[in-house]
Amino acid sequence: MPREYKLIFTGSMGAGKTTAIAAISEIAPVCTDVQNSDVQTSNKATTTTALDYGEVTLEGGDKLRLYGTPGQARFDFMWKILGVGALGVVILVDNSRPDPIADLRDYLRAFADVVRGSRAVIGIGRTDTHDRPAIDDYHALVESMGVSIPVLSVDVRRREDVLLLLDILFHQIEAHDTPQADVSAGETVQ
Amino acid sequence: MSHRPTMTLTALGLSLRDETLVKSLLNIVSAKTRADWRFVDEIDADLALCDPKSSFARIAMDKSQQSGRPYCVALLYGQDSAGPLKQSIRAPIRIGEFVDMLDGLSERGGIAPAAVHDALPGLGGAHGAVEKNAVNHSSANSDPIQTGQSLIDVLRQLVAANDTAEPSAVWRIEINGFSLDLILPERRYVPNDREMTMDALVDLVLSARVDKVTRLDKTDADAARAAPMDKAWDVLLWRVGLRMIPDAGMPWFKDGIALRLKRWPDFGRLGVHKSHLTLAALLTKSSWRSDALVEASGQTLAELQSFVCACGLCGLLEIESVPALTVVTPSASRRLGVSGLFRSLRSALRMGG
Repeated sequence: MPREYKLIFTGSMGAGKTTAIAAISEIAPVCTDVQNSDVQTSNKATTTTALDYGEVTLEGGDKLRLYGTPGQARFDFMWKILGVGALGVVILVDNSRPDPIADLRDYLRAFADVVRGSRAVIGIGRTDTHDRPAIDDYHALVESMGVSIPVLSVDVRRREDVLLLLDILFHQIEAHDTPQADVSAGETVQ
Repeated sequence: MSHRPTMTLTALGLSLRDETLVKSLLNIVSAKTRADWRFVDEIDADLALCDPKSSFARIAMDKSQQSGRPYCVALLYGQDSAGPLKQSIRAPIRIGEFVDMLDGLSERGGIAPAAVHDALPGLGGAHGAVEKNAVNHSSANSDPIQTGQSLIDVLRQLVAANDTAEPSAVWRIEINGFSLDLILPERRYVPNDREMTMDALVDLVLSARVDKVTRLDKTDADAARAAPMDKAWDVLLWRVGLRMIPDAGMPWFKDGIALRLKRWPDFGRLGVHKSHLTLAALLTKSSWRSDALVEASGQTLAELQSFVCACGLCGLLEIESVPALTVVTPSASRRLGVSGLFRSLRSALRMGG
């Protein structure tokens, strides 16, 4: 019987969740974008009000289902629901926002269960035009929350950057789930 | 059992041979000293054993004046003078003197007020004070320092000093008519030849020896900051690291150590090779000896060494001591990248993995 896996794309308004899903989905993404009425938070023309959806068919008919969460904080109840049972989460941050560090903190907390299992990767956008906060600042936040997650500068309009995020997420999950030799302790752990 | 505080020792401006000797001595005497001394490859240590002629000793002394550490001790050869340093030790280092030096500092619990170094002319504390107070910018010109060190060593040590240098510091490195301004707080550099390609710059870094290292005065530093097309130095260091020829003297390739990544490199900016992802995933999860990591990752030793050099230059590596005999069970290896689900995912997404 085919299995299904769920991958979440979350992040603030305008961070590129819809774009990222569109870059890899094999079906035309289902979007719930409407005209943006929250121009104080973001000046983008449209925004996702429910969720975006895309999918990728795997070997044997298995499905990878791609969900993009609405970015606005008033939908945060949906974030936690979507996170349950997720294979992993891609957190996208827009570095041009007023307080992107606070944005990231909100998403790390919302997806705490997934994040604690190292099933997350963080993509920072618009670093070319906004070089502060620096990547180090994001790492400092992540480390202060007691987790270890990759943080990358990306432009999710480029498909290869979306694939890089996913490839790193997969490596991160594999390493976390793989029994390894604990060489520092001088013994092996199976 | 009595508690031994942990203290750290670094070497600044010493030859590779002497640095290796210091590390070996530390291993030998570590059980005999009052504190648990560990070697670190960074300036932010409790004790720095310095070549007093080195520009990095001067950086360390600046830092010592500002923050109280590291405590700098000169390593002297022949009739060399310790210069402004209050304490020195002569080469060849004798174990007794070495232990006395370590115990002397640990007994004081760090740096005693009386041991704070005098300000140095040139690159030292006097200039730092002027710039720090931002009162008299015109007097902050720098006396050039003749170095003769390799450019890669100069870059590595200046970058390592980044967190401790005077905040506005901009350094100019001159090599045979070419110059490179390093803007420390922003981690950027400005080459005077804007047409120089990255590959050519990497070649230069790998092969050149430095003529002069100068800290710029405020006017020149501001000009460097305002220059267009300045570049992030971690990209340069990363490319250099990937092309370095591994050397057993490098701190990352010593016997009896394990490596760990402090965090994932920013592959979005640095560029990525497939093998790097596997290595980064394993090295961020736990510490690895090189041989075990080669086995577990399925990568070649050359790929591993190239990756390690790049990470090391960018300050991403942590080095730990490990027991000499550590067994790695083969069944724990070669799992990454081949498990069913992720192989299927990569195939479906055409990741080529």
